[in-house]
Amino acid sequence: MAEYDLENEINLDQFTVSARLFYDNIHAVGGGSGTTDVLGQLRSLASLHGLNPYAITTSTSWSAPSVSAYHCGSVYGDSALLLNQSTLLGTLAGGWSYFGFPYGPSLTNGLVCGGSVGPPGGPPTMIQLPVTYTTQPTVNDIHVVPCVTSGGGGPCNSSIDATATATTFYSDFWSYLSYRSMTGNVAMMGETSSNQNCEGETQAMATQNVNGYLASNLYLYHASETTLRPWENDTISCYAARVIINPPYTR
Amino acid sequence: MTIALRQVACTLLVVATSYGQATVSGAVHDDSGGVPNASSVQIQQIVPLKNRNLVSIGDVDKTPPPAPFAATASVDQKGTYSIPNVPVGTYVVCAYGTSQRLFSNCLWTSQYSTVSVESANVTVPPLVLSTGSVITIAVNDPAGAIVVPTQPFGTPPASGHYFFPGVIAENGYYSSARLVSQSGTTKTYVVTIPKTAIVRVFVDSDLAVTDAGGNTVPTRTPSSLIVQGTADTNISLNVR
Repeated sequence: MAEYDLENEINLDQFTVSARLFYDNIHAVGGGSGTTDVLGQLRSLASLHGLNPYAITTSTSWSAPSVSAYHCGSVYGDSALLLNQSTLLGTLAGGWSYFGFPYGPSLTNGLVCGGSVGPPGGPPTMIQLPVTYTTQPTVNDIHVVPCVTSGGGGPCNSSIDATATATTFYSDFWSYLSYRSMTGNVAMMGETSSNQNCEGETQAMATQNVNGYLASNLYLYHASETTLRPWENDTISCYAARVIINPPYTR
Repeated sequence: MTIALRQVACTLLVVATSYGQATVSGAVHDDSGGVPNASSVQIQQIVPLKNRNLVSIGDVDKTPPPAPFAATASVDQKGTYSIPNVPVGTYVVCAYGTSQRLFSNCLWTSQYSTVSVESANVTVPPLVLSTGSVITIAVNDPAGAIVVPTQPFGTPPASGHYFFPGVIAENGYYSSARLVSQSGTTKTYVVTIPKTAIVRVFVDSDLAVTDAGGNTVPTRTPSSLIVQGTADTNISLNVR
């Protein structure tokens, strides 16, 4: 098992309730009120069946800038392009870190830059998981279609070349893995450019994505542990070609 | 930890018109009507999870999730604040103080104060910083085994023991205690709870923990140490 994606594109800075997917503070095992160490139990089950317990994680979504190649530091000190990934790490770290929305960030070019754990001299306003997971997942799954938005989180502007933005993102991804001592992890782009002209994306954007990756530090230092998995939604007729992964699996 | 879905409870007063952006203003006081020292207000835009549900296999909407608008303002000596240039949207409005004893209107509740900003300036109903009771947890660590975080956003170290206390209410609301002092072999943590709350002490540690009577305190699960918020409480724990 290379990866078990417990929740698609979790967003723990805005939706802290999602942390119940790791430690349920409401429900006991078997029902009734109480608490359940969900991630701990899943890891135990994976081990029981001979699977890598630390392949269990959740995917996150990247944060798209509204200016080409723009990035800034998030409240975690990592790139704000990866804020959701930093927040996932901060959640699983329990008492070693915090999650939730930062206090006093600067919203700059579409990114949540800086901020702090709470107001100066006051108690933290960000929160902590009741338990610490001392071993982090061994795969970091970020869904990313490198692009420049029209601002305010709007759709990708396909007329703006995304190559430099892709390079910035992938290099920041490598910096994140390095700073957080996770260079042995799999860097998984679990959903990325489809190389089709669908859902606001273009084949040109896919080319820019790949060219940007090839120019990045992630490719330079971590290519053997990096996977780019194109997104395809076969419920949308726009996707003409069905991707054959490995027969008999055809989607 | 606020593991609770955000719900809406809002009352608005329309004051003036300014298309596209507005000023959000209001007042903050404590539950005795006084103005808390050095308090501040943060508004944060609520951005819905678009077109998603727990059974979806992947993205339904390829638009990158928007960054929420957020802004902070200081509360002046009259207890008022004003935040200009707020874009159209729905916002959570939270007041924060610097006193350990006062807790925010956004803590210990799932009923957040929210406002909808449309095309007019908005006056938010008064935000109240409530006075709570302080639980002080003194931990005797004779071997100095506990490794204390040196930064707010760290990761678990490769070696060393950890000890993180907190409290959990019957409804699951969890609040971590924070380390406020270290003296000799004693580390002191505090957490503030509402006066109406009843909580259990919750310890996350890889060390063996006992209470003042020598009884084992379980870790990673709510303990049987129950505290009522009607008064301040001191708790002594030991680790080895």
